[in-house]
Amino acid sequence: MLLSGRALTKRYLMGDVEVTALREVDFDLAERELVVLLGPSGSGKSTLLNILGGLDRPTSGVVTYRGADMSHADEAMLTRYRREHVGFVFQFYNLIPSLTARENVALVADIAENPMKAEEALALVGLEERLDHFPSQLSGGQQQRIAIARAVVKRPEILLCDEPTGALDAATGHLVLEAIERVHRELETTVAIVTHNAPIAQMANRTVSLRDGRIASDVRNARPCAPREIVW
Amino acid sequence: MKALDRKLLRDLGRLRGQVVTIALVIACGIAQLVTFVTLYRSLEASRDTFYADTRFADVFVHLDRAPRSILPRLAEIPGVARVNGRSVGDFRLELPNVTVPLLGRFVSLDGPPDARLDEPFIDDGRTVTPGSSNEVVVSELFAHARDLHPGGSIVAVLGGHAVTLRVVGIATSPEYVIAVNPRSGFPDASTFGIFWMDGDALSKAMGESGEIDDVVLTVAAGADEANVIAAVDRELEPYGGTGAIPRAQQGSARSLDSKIEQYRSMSKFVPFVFLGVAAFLLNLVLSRIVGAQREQIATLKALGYGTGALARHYALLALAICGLGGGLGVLLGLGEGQLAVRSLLRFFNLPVLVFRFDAAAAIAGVIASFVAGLLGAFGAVRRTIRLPAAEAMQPEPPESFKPTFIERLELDRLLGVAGRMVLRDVERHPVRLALSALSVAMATSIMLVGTTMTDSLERAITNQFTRVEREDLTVAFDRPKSAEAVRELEHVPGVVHAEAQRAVGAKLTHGWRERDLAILGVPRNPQLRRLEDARGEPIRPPTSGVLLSRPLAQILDVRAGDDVDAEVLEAGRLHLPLRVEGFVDDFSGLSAYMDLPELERRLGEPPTVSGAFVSVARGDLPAVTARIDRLPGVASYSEPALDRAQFETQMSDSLRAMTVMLAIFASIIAVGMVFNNARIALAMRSRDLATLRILGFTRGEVATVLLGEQAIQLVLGIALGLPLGYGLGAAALGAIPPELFRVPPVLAASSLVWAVTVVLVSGIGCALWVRREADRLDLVSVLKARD
Repeated sequence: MLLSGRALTKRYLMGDVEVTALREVDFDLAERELVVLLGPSGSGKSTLLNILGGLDRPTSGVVTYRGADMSHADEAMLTRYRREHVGFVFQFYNLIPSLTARENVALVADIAENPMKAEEALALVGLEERLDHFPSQLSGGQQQRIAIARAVVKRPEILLCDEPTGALDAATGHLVLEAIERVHRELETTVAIVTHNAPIAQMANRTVSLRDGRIASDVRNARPCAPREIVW
Repeated sequence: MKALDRKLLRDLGRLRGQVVTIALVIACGIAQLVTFVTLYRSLEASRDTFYADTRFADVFVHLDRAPRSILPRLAEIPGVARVNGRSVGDFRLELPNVTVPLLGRFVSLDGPPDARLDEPFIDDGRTVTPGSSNEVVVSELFAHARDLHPGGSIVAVLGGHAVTLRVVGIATSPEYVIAVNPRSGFPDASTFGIFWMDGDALSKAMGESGEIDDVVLTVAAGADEANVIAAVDRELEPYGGTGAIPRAQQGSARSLDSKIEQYRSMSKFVPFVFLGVAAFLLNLVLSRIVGAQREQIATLKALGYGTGALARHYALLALAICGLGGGLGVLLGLGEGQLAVRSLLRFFNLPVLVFRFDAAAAIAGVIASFVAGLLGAFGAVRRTIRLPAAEAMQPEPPESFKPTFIERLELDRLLGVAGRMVLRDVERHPVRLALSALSVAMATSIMLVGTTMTDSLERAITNQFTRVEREDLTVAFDRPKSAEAVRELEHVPGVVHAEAQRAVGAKLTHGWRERDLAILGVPRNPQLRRLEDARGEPIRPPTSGVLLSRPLAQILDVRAGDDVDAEVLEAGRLHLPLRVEGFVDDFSGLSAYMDLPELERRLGEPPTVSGAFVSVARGDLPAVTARIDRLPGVASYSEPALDRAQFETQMSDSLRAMTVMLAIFASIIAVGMVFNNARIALAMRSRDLATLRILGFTRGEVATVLLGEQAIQLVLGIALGLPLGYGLGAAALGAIPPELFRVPPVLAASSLVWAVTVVLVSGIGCALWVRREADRLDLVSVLKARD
C-alpha cells in the first residue's frame, strides 16, 4: 500500500472549543488510484487529507508511507516527505501573490530532486500563455491551475487536492478537474480529492464518504467518467 | 535567481514604505555612532600626533622670576629629560577699529627651535628670527578672527609702552589648543590670542633682564612624574614657584582631554538610544510583517520548504533592511562626522587633523540592529512554523475578546462601537501597546534631551550674567596693588562704583586630597559680583573662614565646619588653616571665597587688590574703557556683556544645529513607529474594515477603528517621553565635569510644546497617510481576497 492510515483520531481546539474532527478512521491509498473523499462541511475529510499529507499530525493512530511511520516522524522528515513525495492543491490556491505564475511553480521546482520545467508544468494545465502574470491578474480557475502545476512540477507520487473547485464556478471547475485528471493519467500520479460536491465522485476509481469524523462508505467505481461529462 | 529570492525582492518592493522608514531609524543610530566615534578618534589621533610633533612638555610651572642659571639645576633632577625656561605674560592689544578689549599672552622663544619644548607649529609664514625685536608669531584662531596675516602688524602694550609688532607667522601650539581667555574664563579666539616673540626682546619689553618666569620640562621614560614635580617645586619655591602641574592638569590639555572624553562617553550613550529604538522597531515590525505572512509561510511549508529555508528567507529580509539602514547610516555618519570635526576646528587650535573612521564600530552597530531584527522575525516565523501547516493556512481563529476594564466600569456608553473595538483591541494586546508607546516615548525624549540642555544652559547663563556678574567691566592689574588703585578707578569719569578683588593662588588640602586654585577675597557687601546659593539667594562672605564652590567641597571631601589647609602659592609659602563656613553654587570653575579684609589680615599684608569690578553710567562705557586703557598698571579689562554675547553665539550655533538634528531624528522614529503600525494594522484588518464599510460604517468611523490604537500609543508615548527626556537631559548635564560648569536642569514650556508638536505632527501625518489608503479600500475585492 502506498499510503495508509490506521485508527486516526484528531481533536483540536478552535478558540475555546474542543472539536473532534476524526474518530478512529482507517484509510488506504493504493498506487495510481484516483480517490474522491466526499462529505459535508465538518465531516473530517480535509483533516484526513492534511494528516495524510504530513501537514498535520493525528492525536492518535498511525500513518505509514510505503511502510514508514509518518505519524511519529520529526519535522525534518515530514518536510522531506512533503518536498519529495506529495503535491498539494488548496481550495483558495495559496499562491504567493508577489510571484508570477512561472515563479510560483519554480518555487517548488527549485527545491525538488527531479522536477519538470515550470513552463512544462504550466503547459500541462493549459496555462502556457500566462507564464508572467501575477496571481492578481488571473481568474480563480487560472490561479487554481497554477496551483496544480505547482503541485505536480516535482513529479510527486501523490497529489492531494482540498476542495480544488470549491471557490470556482462549474465551467472553471471543469477545467481544473481536467487538469487533475490529465496529471493522473499522463504522470500516473496517485490522486486524492476532497470535495463536498458529490458529482465529482464520478471521475474517481473509488469514493470514500465521511460523516462526523467517521467513514460512512467506501465504494469502487469500475468506470470513471471524464471530467467534462460531469454535470453539477 | 531562485523563486524564493524573487519573493524576497518583491516583498521588499511591496513593503518599501515600511522598509525605508525602519532603515532610516537604523541609519540615524548608525550615523550617530559613526559620528561620535569618528569625532573622538579623530580628535585623539590629532592630539597625539600634534603633541608628539611639537614636543609638548610633561610638567608646567609658573614662578615670579628666576635667573636662567636655575635651568641647569632643574635639568639635573633625576627623571627630568629636557627643560625650557621662558617669559610668559598677558598684555593688552590694540587693533584699529576694534573697541572690545583684546588680550595677548606673550610667550618667549629661547634657544634653537629644535631644542625647544611646546614649539609652535607654523601654519603660515615663518617663525621669529632670533634677536629680532618686534617680530611675532600669532595663534591661528586669533589671527583668523582678527584677519591678521604674515606681513601685518598689531600694537601691544608691553610694560606700559605701546609697541608695534610685525606678524611673521601664524601658528598653533599644544599648550593652547583650547585657549581660555583668563579674564572671561571662556575660550574666545576673537578677544584672546597667543603671541610668540624672541626671548630677549620680550624680557626687555617686560622690563625683565634675561630672567624667566615660566618653566616647562619633559620627564624621562620610566621616571616617576610625582617625584620630579616634588623636586621641581622644592627647587623653585624660593623663586615664587606656584606649584608644578602635570600635563593632565595643564589648562588646554585638560579641556581637550575632557572634550574628547565627553565625545567618547556620548559615543557610548547617544547612538545606543537610537540603535535601541531601531532594533526594537525592527523587531516589532518584522514580527508583524512575518505574522501577516502566516498563510504564505504555511503554504511554503506545505510545499516542502524546511524551517532552515524559511528562516534564511526572513533573515535576508531583516538583513536587507539593516544593510540599507547601515549603509545609509555609515554614509550619513561619515558626512556628519567630517562636519563635526570641521566645526570643532573653529574652536580648537589643532592643526594636524587626522580623520579616523572606525569601521568596526559601524559594523558592530549594523550587526546589533540586525540581530535585534532577526530575533523579531524569528519569533514570528517560529510561532508560525510551530503550528501544523494545515492550521496555519486557515485564517486565524477569532481572538477571544472580553469586555474591557472600562466596560466593566460601565463607562463604555461614552465610547460608541468604534471606540469599544479600539479599546478591546488595545486590552487584548497590552505588550504591543506598551512597546509601541515606548518607541514614541523614545522619540519624544530624544527631542527633550536637546531642549532640556539648551534651556538649562540658557537659564544658567542668563543667571550668571544678570544676577551674579552685575559689573560692566572687570579690570585686572598687572600685579597686586594697594587699595589706592581701586579708588583711582572710581575717579574715572563715568565710573559709578568700583569693587576690589584680591585673588591669591593657593593649594587647598584636606587630608590627602588637595587642589590648586585661587582664593578670592571679596568685599563684605558686594554690589557687583555676588555669591549665591542654589536658590539664588545672595550669600555674604563670612567674617572668618572660607566659602567653597560646591563641587570643590566634594573633591576635597569637606563638610561645613571642617578645617582645610591653604598653602599660599606666592613668595613666603604661608600655610593658613581655614574653617569651611559654607558653599557657593557658582556657575563655573573651582574657587574659595573669603572676606577681603579677613584675607588681607591672614596674609599679613596691607589692603592689596589684584583687580576690580566696575559699574559704569549708562552710555559712558566707551569713554571709560578708553580711559582705563591708558591707566598704568591695568593689565587688561573685559566686558561681561561681550563675554555673554560671545558665549551665547558659540553655544547657540552648535545647539541650534543639534536641536534641528534631534527634531529630524525624533520625527523619523515617530514616523517609523506610527506608519509601520498603521500600515500593518491596515494589511491585517482590511477584511474587517471593508466589512464595517459594507455594514454602513462611515470612513471616519472605520478610520477610528484603524487608527484609534495608534492615537492611544501616541498619547501614552508622549506622556511617558516627557519625564524620560527631561531625566536624560538632566543626566547629560550631570555628565559635564562639575569643575567646568554646573548647570541645574530646567525645561521651558516652549520646548515642551515644540517636542510634543514634532512628535504629534509626525505621528498624525503618517496616520492620515495610511487613512487615505483605508478610504480607498475596494470593498468587494477585499472581501473576495484571501491573501
